[in-house]
Amino acid sequence: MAEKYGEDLAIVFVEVQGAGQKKAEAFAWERKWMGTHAMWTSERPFSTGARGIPNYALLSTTGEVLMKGNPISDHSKIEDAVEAQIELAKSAPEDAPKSLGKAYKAFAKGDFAKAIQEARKVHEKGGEDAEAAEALANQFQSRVQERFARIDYLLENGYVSQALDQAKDLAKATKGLEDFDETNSKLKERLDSEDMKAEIEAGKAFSKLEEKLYEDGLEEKLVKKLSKFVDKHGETTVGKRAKHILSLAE
Amino acid sequence: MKPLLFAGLVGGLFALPLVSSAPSTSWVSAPAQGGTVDVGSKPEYTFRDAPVNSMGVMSLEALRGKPVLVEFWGPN
Repeated sequence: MAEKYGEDLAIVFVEVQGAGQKKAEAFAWERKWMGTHAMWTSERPFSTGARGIPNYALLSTTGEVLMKGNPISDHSKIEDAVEAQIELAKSAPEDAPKSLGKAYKAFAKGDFAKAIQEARKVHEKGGEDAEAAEALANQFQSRVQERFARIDYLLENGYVSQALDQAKDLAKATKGLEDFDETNSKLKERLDSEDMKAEIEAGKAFSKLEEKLYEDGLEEKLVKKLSKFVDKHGETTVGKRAKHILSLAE
Repeated sequence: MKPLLFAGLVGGLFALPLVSSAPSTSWVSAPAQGGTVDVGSKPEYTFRDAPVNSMGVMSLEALRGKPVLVEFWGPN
C-alpha cells in the first residue's frame, strides 16, 4: 500500500509489543521495509481498542477516524476509503465556500504561493466568504511554515539530500509570495555556507549507499561500506545517522 | 505477528488469499499514550521523537491533508 499510493497516503507503523524503537527499526531494516514513505515509531499515539495485532485506524484528510479493525480482513475496504480520501484531498472540503475552490486546488497541487494569493483575493473582496478566506490563507501559511521547519529537522538529523530537495521544492512553491522571501533567502544562505560543504558532500555520498540499503537491507557488504562511510564522514550529521543504522546491524 | 503478513502490508500484497483470512496471532503489550479512539473521533498526538522516516513530522495533526493509515504491529 505504501508503494501503491506513495506520498498521497501517510502510513505510520506503530510497534506495540514493547520491543522498543531500536529493535523495531532493526527488524524493519532486516526485512528491507525501510525504503518506502512509511514511518516507524514505538510511541503508541492511541489505541483502537483491539488487543490482537495487526490492527489499524484509517484517519481522513481532516484527521477523523474513518474506520478501524484488522487490516488483513479489511484490505479492500481500506483501499476504497484511501482512494476516496485521496480524491477528496485534491479539492475543497464539501462545506467550504465555492469561492475558495481555486485556493484549495492550488494548495493540493503544491503551488503554495498561488493558494495563499487566491485565498487572500477572496478575503480582500469582502462579503460573506471573507472571514473563511482569511482563515484559510493563515492555515496554508502555517502549513508552509511547518514544511520549512521540517527542513531544519532534516539538516539537523542527517537527511541532507532530502533537505536540499525540499528546499528547492519549497522555493519554487512559494515563489512570488513575499511572506517567505526572507525564510527562503536565509535557508539558501545556510545551505551555501562553508559549514554545509562537508554535510552536502557526505549527503551525496550517502544517497547511493542509502538506496542500496533500502533495496538489500543490512547485508554484510553494505554494512562494511556503511562502516567505511562512518569512518570518513562520522563527524557530520549524515555520518551520525549512518552510525545509528550501523548500530542496528550489530 | 507473522512477518509474511507484515511484508504484505508494506508491499500492498495483503489481499493475497493466502494471508487475507489469517487471524491475528499476537497481542498488544505496550500501553497507548493516548486513549482508545472510536470512528468519528479526531485523535491528536505529538510524538516525543519524530518517527523514523517521518522527515520531521512530529504530530498526527501535521499529517492532515492526506489520509493516514496508522497500523499497529509487533516483531514477535
